[in-house]
Amino acid sequence: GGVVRRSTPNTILINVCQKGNPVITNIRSVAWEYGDIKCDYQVGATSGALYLSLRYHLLHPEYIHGRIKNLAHSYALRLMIVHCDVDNHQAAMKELTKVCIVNEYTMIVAWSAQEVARYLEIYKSFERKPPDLIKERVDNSYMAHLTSALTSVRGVNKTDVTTLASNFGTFEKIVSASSDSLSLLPGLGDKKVKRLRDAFEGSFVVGK
Amino acid sequence: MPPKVVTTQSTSHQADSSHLLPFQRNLLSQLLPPPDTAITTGDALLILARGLGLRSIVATLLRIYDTSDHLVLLVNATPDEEKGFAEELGMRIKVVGFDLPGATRESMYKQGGVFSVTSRILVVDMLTKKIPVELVTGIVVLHAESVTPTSLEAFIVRIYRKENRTGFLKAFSDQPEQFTFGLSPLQTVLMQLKLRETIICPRFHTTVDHDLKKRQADVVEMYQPLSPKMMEIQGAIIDCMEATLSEIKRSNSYLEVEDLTVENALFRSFDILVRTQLDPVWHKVGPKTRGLVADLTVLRKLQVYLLAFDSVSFNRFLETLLSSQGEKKDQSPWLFTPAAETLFTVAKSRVYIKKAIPPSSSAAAGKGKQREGTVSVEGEVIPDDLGEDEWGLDGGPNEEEEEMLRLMEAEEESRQASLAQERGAMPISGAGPSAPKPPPKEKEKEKEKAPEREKPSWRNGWTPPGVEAVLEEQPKWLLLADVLDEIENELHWGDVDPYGFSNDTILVMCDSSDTCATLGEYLSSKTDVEGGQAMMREKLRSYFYWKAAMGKMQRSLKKGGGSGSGSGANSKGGAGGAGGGGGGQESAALKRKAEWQRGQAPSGKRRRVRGGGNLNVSAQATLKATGASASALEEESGLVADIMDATTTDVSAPSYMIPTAPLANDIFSELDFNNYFGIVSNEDLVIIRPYADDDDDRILEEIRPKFVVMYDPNPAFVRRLETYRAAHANLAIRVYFLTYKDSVEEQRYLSSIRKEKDAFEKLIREKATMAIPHEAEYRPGEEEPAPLRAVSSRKAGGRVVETAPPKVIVDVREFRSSLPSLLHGGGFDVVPLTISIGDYIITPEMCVERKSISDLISSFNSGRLYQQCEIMTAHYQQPILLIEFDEKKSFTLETYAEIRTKGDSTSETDIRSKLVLLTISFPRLRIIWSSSPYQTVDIIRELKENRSEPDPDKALLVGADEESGGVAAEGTGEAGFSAASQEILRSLPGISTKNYRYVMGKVENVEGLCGLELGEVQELIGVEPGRKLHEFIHQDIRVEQGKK
Repeated sequence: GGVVRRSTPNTILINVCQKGNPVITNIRSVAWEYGDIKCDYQVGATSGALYLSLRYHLLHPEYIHGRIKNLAHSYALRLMIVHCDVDNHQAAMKELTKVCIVNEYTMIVAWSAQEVARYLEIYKSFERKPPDLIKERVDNSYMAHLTSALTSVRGVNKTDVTTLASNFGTFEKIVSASSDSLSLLPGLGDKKVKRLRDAFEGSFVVGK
Repeated sequence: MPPKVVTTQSTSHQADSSHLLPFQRNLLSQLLPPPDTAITTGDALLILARGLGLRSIVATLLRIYDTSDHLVLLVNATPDEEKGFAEELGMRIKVVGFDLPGATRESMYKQGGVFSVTSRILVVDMLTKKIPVELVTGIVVLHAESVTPTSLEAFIVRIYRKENRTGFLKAFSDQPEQFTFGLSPLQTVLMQLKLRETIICPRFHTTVDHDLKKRQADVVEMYQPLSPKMMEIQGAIIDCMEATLSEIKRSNSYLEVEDLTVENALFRSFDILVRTQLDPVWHKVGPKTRGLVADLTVLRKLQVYLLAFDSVSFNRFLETLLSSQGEKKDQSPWLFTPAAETLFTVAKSRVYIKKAIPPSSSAAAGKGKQREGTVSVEGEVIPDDLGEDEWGLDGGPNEEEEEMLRLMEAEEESRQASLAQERGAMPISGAGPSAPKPPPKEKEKEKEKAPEREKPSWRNGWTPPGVEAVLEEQPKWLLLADVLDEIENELHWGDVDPYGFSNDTILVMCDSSDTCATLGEYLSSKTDVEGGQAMMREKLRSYFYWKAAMGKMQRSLKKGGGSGSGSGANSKGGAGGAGGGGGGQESAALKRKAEWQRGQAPSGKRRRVRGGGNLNVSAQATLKATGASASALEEESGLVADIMDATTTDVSAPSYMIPTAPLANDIFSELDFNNYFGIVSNEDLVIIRPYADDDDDRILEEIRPKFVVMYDPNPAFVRRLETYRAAHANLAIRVYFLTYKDSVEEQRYLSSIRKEKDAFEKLIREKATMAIPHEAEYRPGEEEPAPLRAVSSRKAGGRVVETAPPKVIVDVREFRSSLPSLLHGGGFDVVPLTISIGDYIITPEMCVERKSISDLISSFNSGRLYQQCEIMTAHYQQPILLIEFDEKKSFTLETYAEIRTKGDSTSETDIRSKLVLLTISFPRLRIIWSSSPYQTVDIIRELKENRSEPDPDKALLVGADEESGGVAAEGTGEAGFSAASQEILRSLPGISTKNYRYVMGKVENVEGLCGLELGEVQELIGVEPGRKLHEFIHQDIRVEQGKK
């Protein structure tokens, strides 16, 4: 695999071939240096990224295949950061999606050099970060739960959630409230009330 | 299978159309051509003006097929319409919805007849061959205006026409306005329905006009001016709308401005208009504009509510609106305009006036709030836990404010001296240049009021001290009462109806059932002396209970943020006593001060006084007028909460949601009963109903009222009356038409008529110039058109093989998105299944979870995506996340990323960061970035090349063992459509991707879940999640938790 790795764990290693790429000047919050690596940007001990501008790809469609071949299975997480810099991207994106899946690359699409740089920075700085941020609900407050539960009923908005909460107090009372007492509340029209009642009364599993 | 011989439409139509008007019969005959014409004649899209009896026409048509040798499908009907049709026809429309298991549906279809099927189910049933598509006699599509290339109805028609070329297809719409958006909207709809013929029938069509002109109803139009305060509020809302609109225009120079007018903004269609203009550039407009667009919707609603709600409810809604606004920076800009201030203060002044209460100590407690309004006076208590930033709304004081501050200081000093003299006197009004009318004057306008200095007798402990009720009634109420009196006289003294057709019933029609309830209540509780005051007091009472609850809720929500000491102190103490004592000695001074401070009270000043206020907390027990600021409202409701706690022991209404007891009035319940059951037992009855579209036609026929009062103007109902009148010779009917003069209501009425007319003219023009492509319809002999846009470029390379179409397994829940339809259109064999992992299985190894951008954001936030990826990775070799962008919007994340980022480069909430984290966590996860569902179809086709087809049986099994106990298998098969109930369940705390199916197998519904004991819940999902869930369900947000 990627044998030639320097022991500078806190920097992004950049392949010399990327020199002149405006992406580099946009990497600001994380240190970087040139290194002798097979990928274009090494953003972690086991993750390496290839950079591909769609415009370049349309001119030199064979280029990326050579890089992929050369990189082989060097990193556990192989990224292909596609810089979407043309308007007519459909065909190329379709092709590259397949290339990525066949060769086991994770594709990331960015629309500007800054965004590419941004991704590289995040990859580097999150290298050892546990996935807690996305594992659980971020906002664990009561209102967040209540809001997401009630707004999953079509048409119910945040104001309605406040209305319901302030009038009934508990989730249980909202659920057990009759259509009549629901429809007395300002802002809750017949349709909303019906949808709410349907959602509360409707069986989870159909046809039981 | 009964429909053995497919009887084409041309065989038997002895439609009983005798009850229809000539023009309706004419339309029907165009849809039902004589037997020997070509099979396609009669297939058409009918666009009819609202109120001209679309329901009757469709029902007459359907009745022909109500036999077991036909199978006719009614598509796109709302539940109400299904009911309406059933009632109208007196026949059994078989309604197929989510509650029927697959086997039942299959056997029902085989019995034939007329079915109304939910589109999503119909698609699945057609694909799984539960319904014999080739034997379908015909399909009737309602609401044709909503058909788009990606809608389910287009999907249905495509499947239908693929397998059945002899059946009929008729589409209907009564929303001509919907056909005015976009490029050649009529043609788009026709293409999707594979129709060629359009019948356009506006009210101004000569045959219609001829039929309706013959007999005209006796109409009395009454114009009621708005009350001055309502006028002021209406103006304020329009100002807010104007401000919002010009803000939108200013920041988006590329918008076509001429359509963006306040007049257009009064209609719902305006949202669509703005969105269609903004969609292509949605990523450029920034969150601010998006917020503004949403604000317009809110403001439009306010206009409606101003007229529809009583003054108490309207104010209550405003306060709810305020408190649901989040942090200050997210608040809508219009809230900070002077007009909004007028809106909030005037709305409140229609309900009550706040008067100051003398403090028990001399400590000055009053202070102005910077957004003080006309009648407000402060003797407020500010809880300690309010942060500084909540006060400093606009930064430090400016020069003017400093001056004001000095003035106030002087005022403060002199106040002490003047206290004694001013005892009992009413406030001095001349303080400010823009001084509003002092409250007492306002009061005198009211018909009847409790004497000035006395406490009204009804105020038994439940109004917070210092509150004087104003309780403005809606002007139309009185008008309605007068009209009803007049009618009663007429009934009593007037001639007997010579024809004897009409009943002596009075039908009152209004916009919403809210209005209905209020009017019913009003009419039954109103007295000659007091008008509707008794009812209004009841509403005020419930308002204060609600407000108390709201205060507690906000406080306990705040608790999380720590520091909640001050409020605790507030809630104790003898507020009751304080309320009773004293005669408002401070009020004048305070009022004057409030007027001084109306400009901008510097926050420093306010804080200084705040300390004083806290000393005699509950004794103050006063309310603060709500400026347009959520935090002010919060305080205020906190206060009310304390007051209610302290003063209402005797009135104790433990479940103080809405004290409904006094409403259970005899007359009202009778009315109510008749509203719901439609049994007219009493000849001279007042029936109050909301407009219910085509249901109203039947109501007129059933009730046969001699008098109709249109409480809210409604153009469609006017036509219904015309139609009804035309249908019956010698009919005695008088119509009262009530409108608020110079109001938004009037304007909306007039412009909706104009809009409809314009829409029809546009449609007629489009019809004349439209070129319908050949492929719009394929019938016997015509070839199937090329698949939608989805011809693979590779196919041309000589590799076109006549093999089975590529197969994709699609989770039934996914059928609400457009991708399955497009896959089918692209020539895929779409197999609907309930699978437990992923949304699409495209090869035996590839499992795809599809996320639109908004799904992506929300499933990141809820943690669901992580769990889904975990489970996909465990069961499939190639787990794939498909990020699908909206076709109409730009293909970039930029739009979505900027919402949250606050400048710093690695903000953790950024969607990119989460994506990065996800890919680091699951290095095997592949990502498809697709700019539109069309692109997705192409990509899936590409990915499937040279791969084996997925196996439905295996896909069904994969992950099934994962479910603890395997109960979930019950829900598999074609059932398990994810209804809203499932969505609610999945967003509850303690419920995870892993256990929700298990819970679904064990518990019936959300109600059932709420009924469980703690122990039962814990047994179900474990101790800790169980505790969380149980706590969430039963925690009363209005009860402050002292412990935490």
